[in-house]
Amino acid sequence: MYNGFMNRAKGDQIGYENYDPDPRRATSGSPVLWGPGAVIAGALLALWWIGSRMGLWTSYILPSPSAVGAAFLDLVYSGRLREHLLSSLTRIGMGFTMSSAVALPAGILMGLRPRLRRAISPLLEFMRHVPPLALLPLLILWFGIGEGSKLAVIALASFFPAFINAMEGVMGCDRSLVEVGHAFGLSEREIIGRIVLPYSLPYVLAGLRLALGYSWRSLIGAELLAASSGLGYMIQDAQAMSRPDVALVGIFVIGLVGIASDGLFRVITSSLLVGRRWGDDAH
Amino acid sequence: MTPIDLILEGVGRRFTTPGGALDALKDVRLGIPWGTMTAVVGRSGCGKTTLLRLIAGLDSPTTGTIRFASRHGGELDRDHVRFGMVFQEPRLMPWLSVEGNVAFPLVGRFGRAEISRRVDGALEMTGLTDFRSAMPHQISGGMAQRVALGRALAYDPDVVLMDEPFASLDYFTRRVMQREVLRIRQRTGKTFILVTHDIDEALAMGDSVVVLRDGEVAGTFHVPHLLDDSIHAELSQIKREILMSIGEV
Repeated sequence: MYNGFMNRAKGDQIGYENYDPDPRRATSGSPVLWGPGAVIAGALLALWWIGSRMGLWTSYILPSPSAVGAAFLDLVYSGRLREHLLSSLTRIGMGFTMSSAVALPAGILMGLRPRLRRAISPLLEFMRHVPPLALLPLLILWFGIGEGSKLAVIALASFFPAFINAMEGVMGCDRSLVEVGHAFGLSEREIIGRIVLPYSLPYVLAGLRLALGYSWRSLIGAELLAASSGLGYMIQDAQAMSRPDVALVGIFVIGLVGIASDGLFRVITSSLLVGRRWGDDAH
Repeated sequence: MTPIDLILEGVGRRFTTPGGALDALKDVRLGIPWGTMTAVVGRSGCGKTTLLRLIAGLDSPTTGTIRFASRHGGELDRDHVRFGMVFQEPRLMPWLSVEGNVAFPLVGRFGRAEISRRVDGALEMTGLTDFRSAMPHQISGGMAQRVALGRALAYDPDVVLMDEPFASLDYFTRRVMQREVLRIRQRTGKTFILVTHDIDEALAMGDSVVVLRDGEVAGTFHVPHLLDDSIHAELSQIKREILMSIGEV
């Protein structure tokens, strides 16, 4: 019998009344307020520009917006930015896919099997608290300085959000809905496939979205420490070459690509959850 | 649908609690004939829901047996009896539309055409045809309970089990739903077991009323369906006797 939730504390379950299948809430934080956000960004840019013009700081500390813009154009036209960006994105794609392919089935399994979860949880808790970058020296020893160590860092960083959310989604499945399955004579397999997994889908997608953000951050860290390509390497190289303008281009690109990938993920997840909640009108 | 009589023989259910053993049901002996509406009444905690869960197979009795006697002869295994359960709350799958929820117990058991036929029938019977595409959060509590009833009926169960299905509804919706269930029951001829704490509801809907008190059957009452004015006096008398069985008088 499905009893993934049996070991939860009383009142710790996510009940039907708390089920929120809205992808906007289930897979995202507060929506970006583009209007006020643009005003704040514009104000900061203006301050930066005015400060640079007035010579409040040297260009070595913080180059002017125009210098950063020029560096950006130079990197674009020379093809170096595209090369570094592609390199980082490829690593993200591979590491995130590998990680998700293991984290989701493992999380679902742990959610369904409390005894297995109890047996493995001390090890998982230990691993969860070790930052992947702390493992980088070991990973380099094991996988070399090439792609292997960086993919391992991404996989480790993105594993736990995806894993834990999948596990929590399964564990939190509304017991009363599972009982409906039993009442209609569904097999355990049917209950998992037709009730537990659909119920946990918003949680799974939220976990994947978190995992994507984690993998992006860890990749940049790994590239800063050991790489010969990628945005992290570009920033590290800019520091070595005393080119803060290039470093700033790298930082802006990382932020913008992060927003773009997150937005893309939100669009994909919304389409997966489409129809779960449309409109707020009750008849 | 197979005509089945339900026979409960010495059914008991004991729960182990931190405070010791608790007998939710003790030596329940009941016969529920095919095609009847049996209402089970009693105070909270008297074992009504436990009884229903045992019949549905959601729980197992500690003592006694529940038998399913086919009117075609012989006895049926529980696996061959279909139960349609309507819970106190609608318990709809929030990711499925009204139509999807009604089809829920049918998917994987029947072909597309048969599912479509049954769903159309259940939606028509429960008056939900115009709301087939609506999602659970878009419909009222009464409609959601009708979806749950439609889901149970689409399954074409041998026995429909209803656990205080109208308890969470307001007075007017409850009256509408009660009439609807009676109409559906007449139309389908199925066996219904209705758990309720409302004696008037039990008398209005049941062919017989089973009174549970502290886990035991305190009385079984046949409800007459007279067409003359004497029905009121008769029902008042039965109600008084039910209240006495519960321990209210």
